Amino acid sequence: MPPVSSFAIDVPDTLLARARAGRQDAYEQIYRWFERPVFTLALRICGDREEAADVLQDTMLKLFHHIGEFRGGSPFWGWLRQIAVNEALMRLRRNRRFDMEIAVDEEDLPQDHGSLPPAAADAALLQRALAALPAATRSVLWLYHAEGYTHDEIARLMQRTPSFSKSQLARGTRRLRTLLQIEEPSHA
Amino acid sequence: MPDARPPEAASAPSDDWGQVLAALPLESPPEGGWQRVAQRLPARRSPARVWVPAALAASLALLLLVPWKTQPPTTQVNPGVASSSQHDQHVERAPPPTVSAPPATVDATDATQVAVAATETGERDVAASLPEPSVDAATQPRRSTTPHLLADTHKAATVTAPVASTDKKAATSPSQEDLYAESARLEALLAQIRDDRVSSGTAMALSAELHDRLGGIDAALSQPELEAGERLGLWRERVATLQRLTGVESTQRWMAANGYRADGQVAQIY
Repeated sequence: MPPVSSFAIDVPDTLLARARAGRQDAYEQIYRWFERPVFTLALRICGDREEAADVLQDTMLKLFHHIGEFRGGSPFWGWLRQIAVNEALMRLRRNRRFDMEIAVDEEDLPQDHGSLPPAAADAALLQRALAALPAATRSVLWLYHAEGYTHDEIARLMQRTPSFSKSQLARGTRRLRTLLQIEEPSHA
Repeated sequence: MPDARPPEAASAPSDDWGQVLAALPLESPPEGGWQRVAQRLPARRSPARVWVPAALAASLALLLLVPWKTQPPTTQVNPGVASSSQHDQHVERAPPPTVSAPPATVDATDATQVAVAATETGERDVAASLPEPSVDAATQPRRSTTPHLLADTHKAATVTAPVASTDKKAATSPSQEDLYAESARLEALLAQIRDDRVSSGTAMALSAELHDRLGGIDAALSQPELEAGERLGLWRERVATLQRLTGVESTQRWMAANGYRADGQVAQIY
């Protein structure tokens, strides 16, 4: 069963209507509901709390500026999440951390199919391991595993190829295993 | 090799990674994030701003035209009847009959400028309901140009219509369906134009008073034993109150959007 995104919160139409009408109380309600999912996503991508707070602020401002353009064909949370991902990735690109980290082509890396390391169940250890990954790798890992994006979608978001997404995923999983002090499974 | 694995076995570990990652606790952002966002929220940059002038013009035109069209030929109020109505009708009767008189100090050459006058006089309505309504002569003609006062004149005329001319009333009164539709239209308009962030104290008081009045009307309308005539009268009163409220709210938005002061200051409310 695929994981459920922390963004998956159903926003009532009445609340959306009030927000579209420019009601500040509706803005605040939406902000309160989504501040933690947005901040968490931004933190996973940027790896820095201060940057993540900036992403949260920019995301919410952009959301409220353009909320009148949301037509409701898809869930509101998905639209908001897309804004948040774009804002976080844009910040990575702006800081040139993205380009430096993705210079290594690891397309030929095998995918990780080993069983889950026991240490991965420890939230503190896992968070520490995630924080140690390069930003681009961590972003792919998070978008693919925690948010359920496909390789094609990640490739579009990062303006790369699906192969890039796959290689970063393989790389990230291997690094996570190492950081969690678990031996990699044999791929022979 | 991974390729040799059956698909179902190969997908299981990925799902496991997804579950442990998605199960990580959410991070909490620093305190004060909302306050920072709220400070940078556009006061008037919402898409609604685009049509606010049009909505204002439409609502003001309605406020000006509907009462005029449904008014009896004479707006003379029967004192005997009027004295039994609510105290605010005393204020409604105050304007002289010269509704076309230009504002004394405002060049009301377009609807938006009329809107400014409307709010200023609307706030004076509150003052006028106080024990000492000292209104100078210069403001009297100006008050007579306000849309909501015209609506009130319409309401007062409706009250006195049975005494004055029932035939005329029958010819000009809207049906209950018309009143339903008009009420719904005004409610929708109000929902769009209302903005609690920017308002003057007196306008808020007036708005609250009108909302209270609407609540009273709605409570009365919910009574099942109402006669048809009473029900129609209440719906007329509801529409008239909504017209006043629309005038107040739209004027507030217009004034705030254009940097006008309402009655001393425009308050940002968060």
